[in-house]
Amino acid sequence: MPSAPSSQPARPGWILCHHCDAAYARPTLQRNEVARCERCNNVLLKPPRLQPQALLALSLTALLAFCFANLYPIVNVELNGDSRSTTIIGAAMALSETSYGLVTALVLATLLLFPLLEICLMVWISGFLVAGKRCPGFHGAVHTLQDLAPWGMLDVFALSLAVALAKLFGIASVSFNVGMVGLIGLVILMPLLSNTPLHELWDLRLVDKEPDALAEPAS
Amino acid sequence: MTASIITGRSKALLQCHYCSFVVNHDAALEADGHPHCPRCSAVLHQRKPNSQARTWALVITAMLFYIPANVLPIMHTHAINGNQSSTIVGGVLHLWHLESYDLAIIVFVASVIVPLGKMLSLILLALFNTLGYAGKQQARTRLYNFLELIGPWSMLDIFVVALLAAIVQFRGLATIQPGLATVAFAMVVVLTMLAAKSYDPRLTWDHSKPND
Repeated sequence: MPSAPSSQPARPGWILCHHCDAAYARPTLQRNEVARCERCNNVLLKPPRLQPQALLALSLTALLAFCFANLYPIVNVELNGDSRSTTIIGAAMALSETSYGLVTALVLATLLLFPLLEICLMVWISGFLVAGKRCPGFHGAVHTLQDLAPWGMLDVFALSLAVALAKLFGIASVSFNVGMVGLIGLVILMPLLSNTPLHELWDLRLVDKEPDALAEPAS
Repeated sequence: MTASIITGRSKALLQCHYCSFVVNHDAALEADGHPHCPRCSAVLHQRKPNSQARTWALVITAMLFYIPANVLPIMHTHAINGNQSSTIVGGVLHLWHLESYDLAIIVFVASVIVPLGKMLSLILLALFNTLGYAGKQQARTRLYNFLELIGPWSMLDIFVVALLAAIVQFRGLATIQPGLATVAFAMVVVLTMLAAKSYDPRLTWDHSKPND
């Protein structure tokens, strides 16, 4: 169906359901209230809950955990006096011969590059937000974060590690190394970080910014 | 359910995929011929472009890669008591025979049920849209939300093989090498994730009767 041509300016009070395109007047929500779509029952709107300070603290902790998880081996495995340890990069590299680097690249991207990029962008954005400013490159930074969202796989990796080690228990002796602490930290922190309501970043009113004629009313 | 649901499309309204800003189509139109978000400058779409064609193409390609992913060996084990190559299903059966039922179930769910279920569900969802079927819309929307959630979990077996290949390098005793199925299986994971991302759940509702 062709869209009806209209010369009227945008109606700032509208909200559309991301799941079914139903249109509603933007509701005013109390704390703990959630608006649901009448047609498909998905969440339409939640009250804002983004806190820049908490986000900065969370992302800096995640950065620290990331360094530990990648600079130190995760586990040591010993068999007949012969000892081996592995890092996340080591696991990715073990795939490189067979797959011509294809799977290695995917593993490095989902376990190393994307999580690191996500953490660094969060530090960058929330650091400036705490100071009441938008970071340089704000648009690109937030768009990148939103695009990256489904592609970090550290939680899947943690379960894989449990499966791999369970296969080795009884055959070889397994001991944990410093990297394990960092990995556990990341598995806890990354879901919290990914749970950030990124779209709220666009709604924040900042002191040093002149009033935006296009911004939606706070109601 | 109310008798009159208004849609964004019927009002020529567009909502930004990134920042949720709602704007009238004509007000957002820029010199390049596409509407752009006035707030964050992203390109706006009424529906994801070529959603159905892209979903079909990606999911069919994923199905094709799923064949070598299961036929080719995913792991080669060289040990003093002999060499062995195992496929994904072979690995699950091996775990089962060793009475590691919990591991067998984890790997079976992540490597067989999740990717197969995801591909079949996407085919079903795309087929309903292609046929213009307008029933069970809430269930279809829930199914799609679920698919997005379970997306990356089929990478599990690839990470397991990577870890084992990195750790088990005890010369003379046992070494493990990844098999070619890792490549095919990685393609299945990436393609199904892209297919789910291309699918537009709003198409499900576009066939609704006006007062449905």
